[in-house]
Amino acid sequence: MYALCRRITGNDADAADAAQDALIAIVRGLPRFDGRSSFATWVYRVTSNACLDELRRRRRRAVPGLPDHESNEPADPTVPIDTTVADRFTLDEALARLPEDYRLAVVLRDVADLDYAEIASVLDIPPGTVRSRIARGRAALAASLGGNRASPPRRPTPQP
Amino acid sequence: MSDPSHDQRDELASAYLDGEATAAERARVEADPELVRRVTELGVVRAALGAPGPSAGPETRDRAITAALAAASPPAATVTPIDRHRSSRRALVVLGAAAAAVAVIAAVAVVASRSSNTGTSTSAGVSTTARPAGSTATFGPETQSAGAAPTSAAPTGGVSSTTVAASAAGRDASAAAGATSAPPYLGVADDDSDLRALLGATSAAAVSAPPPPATPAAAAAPAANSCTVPGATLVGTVTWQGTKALVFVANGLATVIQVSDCRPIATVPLT
Repeated sequence: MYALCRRITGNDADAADAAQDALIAIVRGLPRFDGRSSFATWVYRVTSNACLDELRRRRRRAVPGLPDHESNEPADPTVPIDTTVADRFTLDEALARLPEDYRLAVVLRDVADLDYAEIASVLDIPPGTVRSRIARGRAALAASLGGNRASPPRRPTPQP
Repeated sequence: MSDPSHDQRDELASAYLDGEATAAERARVEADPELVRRVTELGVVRAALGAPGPSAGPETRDRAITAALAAASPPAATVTPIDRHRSSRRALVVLGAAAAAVAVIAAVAVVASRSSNTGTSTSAGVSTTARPAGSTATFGPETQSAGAAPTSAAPTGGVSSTTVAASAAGRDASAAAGATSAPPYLGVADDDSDLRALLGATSAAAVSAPPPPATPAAAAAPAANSCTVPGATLVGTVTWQGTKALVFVANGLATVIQVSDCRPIATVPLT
């Protein structure tokens, strides 16, 4: 849960707060868990919502240490991607630049290791939308980190 | 502007990477060197994201778990490490006032029972007012066997058992009475039912059987006065899910407190 929140919120303090909120929400919500989805899916949904809430709270206050530029310009194309991805700060920064929709989908896939159907259930969106959000999110990350073909992230379009 | 064909190719490469592509899509990717290269690029991103990142420190983890446990438990006991109050004059004043109140109540009860002129009234009165001491004797064989004279031990034991020796003065008083402060070791409990069973068995054994010999675990039990739960009575120590813990009981609820930091780790209804 903390790892998920860490990737979504982009910093330790917000991740700790979000993970704590998620734990509390899970404990309080347990009596209302109806078993329609798997428990893990429900936990990830609660955690994702707690992280998004934390991001919304963060927007209402000044946040030191976050990237203050929202440029999607790719990094130096001459630097190999596998060199730059080793830089944690760069990765966090690139993630922070992603639209939340893409970030959530990519993090649920690559950090939580959920498959597309599970992510669709967590985010309550069609699997096709999951697929496109992950692809666009990864492409944007690759562009930020390694300067490959830059496909600036766009807002997702719902798919049936 | 993004190129739709690039988006589609990225989607294809990404789905291939995740094993979510159809057979036809897989064949298409494998036949296209450009797409294969893109799969590799996106794979590097995926590997970087999936690599173990910064983890929560123990403090963060404990804080979150404590908050969640507090959210799950009814608002009950506040646990205060005893050391925090050791130097506090206020605690001594409160303790003194409590001891005086107990003494007054005992005196009134004795006088009242004598004036009622019944044969057994005196002992009944003492028994009533000394209930906290009695509860310690029930769950604390060491205290029982330490046996100071009943008249002098009752008030002292009453204070130390109800507040779990909430001050240095209380500890001194207990020591003066010859009582040890180590609570009985009840056993191993991994869940609520285990704990209920231990508490039930201990209650029954304390009533019907002599105190058991000290076990190594009991000998290693922590001092009872290291943690306190206001309004609750310390009944013993347990190994709760592998952790040494104290068990306090109040209002039909057992509160399990981790010995190392006086942190509540479980609350178990006894009914």
